[in-house]
Amino acid sequence: MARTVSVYIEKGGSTKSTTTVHLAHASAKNGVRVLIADVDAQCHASHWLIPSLPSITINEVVRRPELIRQAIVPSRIVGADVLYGSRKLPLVAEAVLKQDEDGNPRNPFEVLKRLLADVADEYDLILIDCSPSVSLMNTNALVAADHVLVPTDLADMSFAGIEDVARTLVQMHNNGLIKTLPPITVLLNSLENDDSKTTREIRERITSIAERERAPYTLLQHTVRYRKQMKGIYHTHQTAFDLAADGGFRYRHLQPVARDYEAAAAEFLSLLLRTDTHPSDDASRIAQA
Amino acid sequence: MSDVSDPFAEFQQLQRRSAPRIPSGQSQDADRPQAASPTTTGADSDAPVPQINAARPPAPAIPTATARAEEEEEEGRVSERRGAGRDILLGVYIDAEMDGFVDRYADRRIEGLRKRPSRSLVGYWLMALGMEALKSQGEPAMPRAIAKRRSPGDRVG
Repeated sequence: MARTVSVYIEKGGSTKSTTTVHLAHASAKNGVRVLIADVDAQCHASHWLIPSLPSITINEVVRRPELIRQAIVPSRIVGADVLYGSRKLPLVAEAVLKQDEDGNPRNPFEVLKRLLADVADEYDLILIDCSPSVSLMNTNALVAADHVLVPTDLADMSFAGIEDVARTLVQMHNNGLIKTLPPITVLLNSLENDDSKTTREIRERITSIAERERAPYTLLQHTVRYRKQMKGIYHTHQTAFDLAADGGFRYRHLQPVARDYEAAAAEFLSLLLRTDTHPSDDASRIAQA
Repeated sequence: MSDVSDPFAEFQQLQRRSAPRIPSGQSQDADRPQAASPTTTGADSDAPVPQINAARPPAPAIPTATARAEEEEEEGRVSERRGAGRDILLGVYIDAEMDGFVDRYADRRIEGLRKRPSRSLVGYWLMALGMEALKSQGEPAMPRAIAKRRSPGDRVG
């Protein structure tokens, strides 16, 4: 069974898609099989890795779940596949999610979870790239998630965004949509420099948020540094790993960014192993009993 | 056996303990849509770690249309973003045209010149023409842009 991670923060421009794509690349190039499920209407992660639109996107799959395998497309990254997003996805009404094409009733908040469960055995890691909003599909993404990854920069609004993640999850818990709060991991992105004083202050601030919101926050030790060349790489359809390796003189500054993402991915996967109980562990325990 | 001190290997090992996996890229139906560029299938867990996109083909020189543009066209509207995308496509097109210009005039006998121009000289002519065009429109010319790009803060720390 794959671990499902929602890359989520309600604030926009906090590098959700960039983080999703780079964590997927870092993991895939180390042999981890990754699926990126794009529920963001902007489709940045999908378009980044697959420039041409496939005939079936997530918009069709939420209506007809049997299409899931046809909708998953191999990306440019070896070992990473993509469930392509759709601009029409936010227009999917709750009524559509409440019943399938045949009119059978279903839980509108568990549609994505059930979809991904069908292919979970074929991947090690499923990354859901969420949109910067509170929406039905984001709720689906959080219901499906074993773990929530919050990429953020150092803006004040981002800290408010981190607090909102816990609030949303607590609200979902109170409404019975999730049984337990998933662990929330924060990745500091776009750091201007590796200033230990700033980083220490941020850690203290996130710890205080964790205590105040009573939410299971963890801050990754590894951070990702800022390089302005990152702003122009989306349209190249390549990642910092690609461009650092063969992008030439222009993209030479992306080498440390690629290293940062790889280190952050390694730490995050270790954290996933430490914090979650693997489903197979439960299964073997039940079998032994 | 994978090295358990490697978090990626450890993660893989634990994830694949429960059930045999179908390699990524081979698991889906044969008739499903394929990526724009061919990709290789995922590596087996015991296979050596693949190099960064070792088999990845180079990016297409001139993308014909973006997925976003296609979908927007279908919906009958065009956003500002698409305009930006077009600018970039135009940039790629101009790049190809410039290559064509250099190919056309380099190493050719040109009236008024004693020597046949090298590729770099033709490139310089193009740059000079471009700078003049930029200046005439009040835009910053190329040397300033290059100087800005090479600011000390931009260096790898």
